[in-house]
Amino acid sequence: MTNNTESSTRVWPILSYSDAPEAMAFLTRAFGLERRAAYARADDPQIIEHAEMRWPGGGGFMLGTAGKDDSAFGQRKPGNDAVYVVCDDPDALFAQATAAGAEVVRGPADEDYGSRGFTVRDLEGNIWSFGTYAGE
Amino acid sequence: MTRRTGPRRAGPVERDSQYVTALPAPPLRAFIERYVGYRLTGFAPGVHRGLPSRYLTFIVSIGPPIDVIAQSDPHQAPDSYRCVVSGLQGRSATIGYGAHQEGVQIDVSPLGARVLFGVPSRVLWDASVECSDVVGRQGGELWERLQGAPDWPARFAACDEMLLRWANADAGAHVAPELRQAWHTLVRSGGVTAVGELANELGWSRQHLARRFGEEFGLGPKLAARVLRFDRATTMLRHTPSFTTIAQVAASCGYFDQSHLDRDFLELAGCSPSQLLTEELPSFQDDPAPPG
Repeated sequence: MTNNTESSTRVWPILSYSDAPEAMAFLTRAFGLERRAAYARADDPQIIEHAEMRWPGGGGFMLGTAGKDDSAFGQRKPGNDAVYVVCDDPDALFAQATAAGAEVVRGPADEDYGSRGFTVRDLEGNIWSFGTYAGE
Repeated sequence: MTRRTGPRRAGPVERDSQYVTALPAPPLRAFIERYVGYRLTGFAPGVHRGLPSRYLTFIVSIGPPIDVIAQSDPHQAPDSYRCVVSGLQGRSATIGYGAHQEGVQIDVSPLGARVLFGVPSRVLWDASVECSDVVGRQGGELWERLQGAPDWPARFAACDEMLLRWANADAGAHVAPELRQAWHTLVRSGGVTAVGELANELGWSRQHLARRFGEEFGLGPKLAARVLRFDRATTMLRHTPSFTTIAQVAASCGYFDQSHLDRDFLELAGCSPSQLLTEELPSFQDDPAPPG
């Protein structure tokens, strides 16, 4: 009982967003990512100090508001990250993502290595790739 | 459920920690947030802090009893409990533990005190009692049932059965709706709502709110807000990665600055936030609720 899928997530990309609350709402609408934790600054709910989102198929990432402090994490420029996510039904997810306003980089296509997937940008320019290829 | 590492002192026996969470039966969910089963073996004996939180303490031990070495109220003598019930508290208690700790923690909202224990939360404020001293024979029966249950599902089922039997849903109505609202507002805001704001929301004067709140919960709304802010800050400290600084936790939880948070920790926990993190046992007090 001390181990399960969630606690075995050992790699967490960390993204930063200019408008983190809006980004989380978008990522939920567009990709079905689930918000698990969000710690906003008490006197300014727009500033997210730390938040976590989970991919229902396993895994997750962390995020915070860009420029929230002077640390190396706080000072990263938003919009430069790329994340690849394994999914079972890329066509359905593509429809959902574009309906939510994701900008298409590459529509659903079969790759010669046997994967089917697509690539879009979120509202702040980060690249999200989804595909059936689950890693070697 | 999150796995946590234990204290650094390595014991001779292999250490193992299990935390299992479960939701109570639906009729109990209005005032019991969840059950947390814990089983820790192979740790060197030591002490841990029983911290103020947004729940009443309600723990049924399995095997060795719960050994309170120092009560949150220094005027109450140390004691051991098979099944401990304590109210909200403004200071931490010290709990001793041996190489084996096992039991079920039941996270009860103070709004559930009348339903489960037949008394307003105020009666339990800053005090610990043996469960059977509050609810009678059934408290002992709950303890006995858990000693015999073979696994976690059976233990949680026994809790459901016993608590459903003795819960008196009608008594819940005796918490005034304004006070329920006040408690919910404070919990939702993580203790950031100002007392004046809260009084306005209810259409009460600050004095009336303070008096009524104290009569129900045992502590005033201002101290309750501090406890809830502290509860949120400890959750955030435990659950966010180390690159989230204590200053960020302070900013997120409504402290003026980090030294304000440090002062509150000194009073409520008896130590600094960083000391709390280094010395703390595997935490089960506020792991995320089970999905669904």
